[in-house]
Amino acid sequence: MDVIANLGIGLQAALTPTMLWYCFVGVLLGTFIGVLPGIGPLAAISLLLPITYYIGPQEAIVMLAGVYYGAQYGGSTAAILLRLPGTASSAVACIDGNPMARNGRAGVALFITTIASFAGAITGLIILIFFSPYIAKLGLKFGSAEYFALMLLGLVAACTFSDSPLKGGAMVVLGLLLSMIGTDVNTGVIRYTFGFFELSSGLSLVALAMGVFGVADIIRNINTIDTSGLSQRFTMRSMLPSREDWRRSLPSMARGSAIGSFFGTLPGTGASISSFMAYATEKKIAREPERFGKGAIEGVAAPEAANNASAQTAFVPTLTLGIPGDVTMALILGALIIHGITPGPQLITSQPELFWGLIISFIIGNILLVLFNIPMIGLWISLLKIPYRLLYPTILIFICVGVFSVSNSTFDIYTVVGIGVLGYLLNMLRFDPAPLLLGFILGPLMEEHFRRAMLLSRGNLETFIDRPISLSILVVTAFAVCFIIASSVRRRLRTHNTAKDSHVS
Amino acid sequence: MAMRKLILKINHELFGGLLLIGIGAYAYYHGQQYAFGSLARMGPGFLPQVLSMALCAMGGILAVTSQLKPSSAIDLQLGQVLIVAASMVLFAILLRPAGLFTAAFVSVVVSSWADRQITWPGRIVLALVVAGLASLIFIVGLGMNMPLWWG
Repeated sequence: MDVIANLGIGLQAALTPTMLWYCFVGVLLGTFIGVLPGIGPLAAISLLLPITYYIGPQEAIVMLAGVYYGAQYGGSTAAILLRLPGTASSAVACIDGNPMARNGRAGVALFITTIASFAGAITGLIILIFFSPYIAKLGLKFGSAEYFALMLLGLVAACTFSDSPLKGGAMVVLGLLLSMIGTDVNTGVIRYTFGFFELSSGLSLVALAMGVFGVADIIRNINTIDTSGLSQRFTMRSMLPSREDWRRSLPSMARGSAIGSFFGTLPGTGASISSFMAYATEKKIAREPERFGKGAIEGVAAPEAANNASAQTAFVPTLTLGIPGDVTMALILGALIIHGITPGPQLITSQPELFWGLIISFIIGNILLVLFNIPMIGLWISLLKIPYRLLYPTILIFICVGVFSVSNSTFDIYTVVGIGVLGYLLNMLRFDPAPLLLGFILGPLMEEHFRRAMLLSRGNLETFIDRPISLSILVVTAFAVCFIIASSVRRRLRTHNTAKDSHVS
Repeated sequence: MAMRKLILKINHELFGGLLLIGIGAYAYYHGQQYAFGSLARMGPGFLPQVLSMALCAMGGILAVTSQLKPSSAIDLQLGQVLIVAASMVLFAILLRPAGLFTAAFVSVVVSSWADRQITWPGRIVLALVVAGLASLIFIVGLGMNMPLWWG
């Protein structure tokens, strides 16, 4: 069997002491960051990006990925105990997890989230193992037109599922515009630098990510995060779910894993969308939907399985096509590119140790996470008691040092401040910053592929329709756009009608 | 201390739309100095101009359709914005001449101002601890190239 031989290669690559060490550090940091309210995996990964310059590419990715999926495990802890989601994707865990905790079933909720997370992650990994080689083979046939179409689909998908597709779309366009800053690759013209020499190599990705997800979040969270209401103690016995709990949650985990795996593989959609979709599905098919929101265990199990499954399958488009599955993947992709590795269809065949080694280390990481989260849960809960007023000044210093160290320039710190204030303003105006970062990262790739496709076809836009693969991707994109328009029109009509009704009555 | 807090009773969709139009218009105006080119041979100004027009259009739609929705209040924490920004700017200014320890100390003292509960002794202890930790991690541990102290 091919798969077994490949996993053998992976085992050899992953079972070295350094790889195990970075895997351990990654998942430990991930859980730590995930548990702490007010700082998410994106901020953590952007903080760690500068440090990865000092270590090898494979170790760097193992560590960053560990932070990502580790945070998916840890994020639900604060969500369940305090109704404070540590990550965007664990916001769903508040809805039923927090009522469970208030009913004295916090231990069971935490146990089930860990099991669901593990089940989801393993499902996602199986998909990753079996699917990636096929996607990579398909990717070999891709030209610039196909790449452009696929990235367009990713950006459209990212807006489809945000609260307001129009606002999401505007953020994507703003991100694309920000990516135009710096030297144009094709002509060498320097664009939008406003006379700052430091901007000629482009706006720093680390500065943008830390500004939007670090500084902006801190400004918003100061004086609003209160962790003083925590007073729970846990025994192993209180964590064990009853037979009834198992009966209810196992099918939910299976459905959640399937939903998460699907949304993870789509470029542009990631963990948060998966967990929302999984929750909505559970509520729709439940026999007693009124139990949801009052501590239904299915409402905890399914979204947790979904966001962990998608955290793993998001690596499919990232590693096989070089197109990030979501914003976090975009940062990880950025880290790979910094190390001179451009992920693409050739990655699996040209660097099998890297690819399969990563997969094995993900499996190891997930096993470690179960150990971290069940026997050691008390430790993480005590972390929750650290007040935010001690945390945020510390995080600000780490952000400053982190950005500074990328190119040893204080200019980047000023950039972070500017971006942070802009990010806070956008946040207050209810714009979702995630599509902005996605647009920023995909921007240069899209511009390059679009220009190349146009150059090859001598300016004929039909090239996107003449090529079958590109055409089919564009058809899917068109469907997504129609779906956006239809659903937003429907929502407008509904709110309009209810507004009118309430006015009459 | 009393926090400066600005509560704006505005339609955030309208304001957001206008902000987008503003950014888009400026990017378009600024982008005109770069050659536009043609589809077959795109100049450096092609995509920036197309994208800024798209941004203006989206902002326009947002601003117009915002009238269908009721407006809601947003509270801008101006004090927190200023304090956080000032603490980071001070860090950047102080880092080269005064070293990491000093810069981190001053920055934490300033940024902790945004919290309503912290006391003066707590602030000093926190600043000392964070400055010490940062120096240990980044200079001793990771060997980053930056001064620790004045000089």
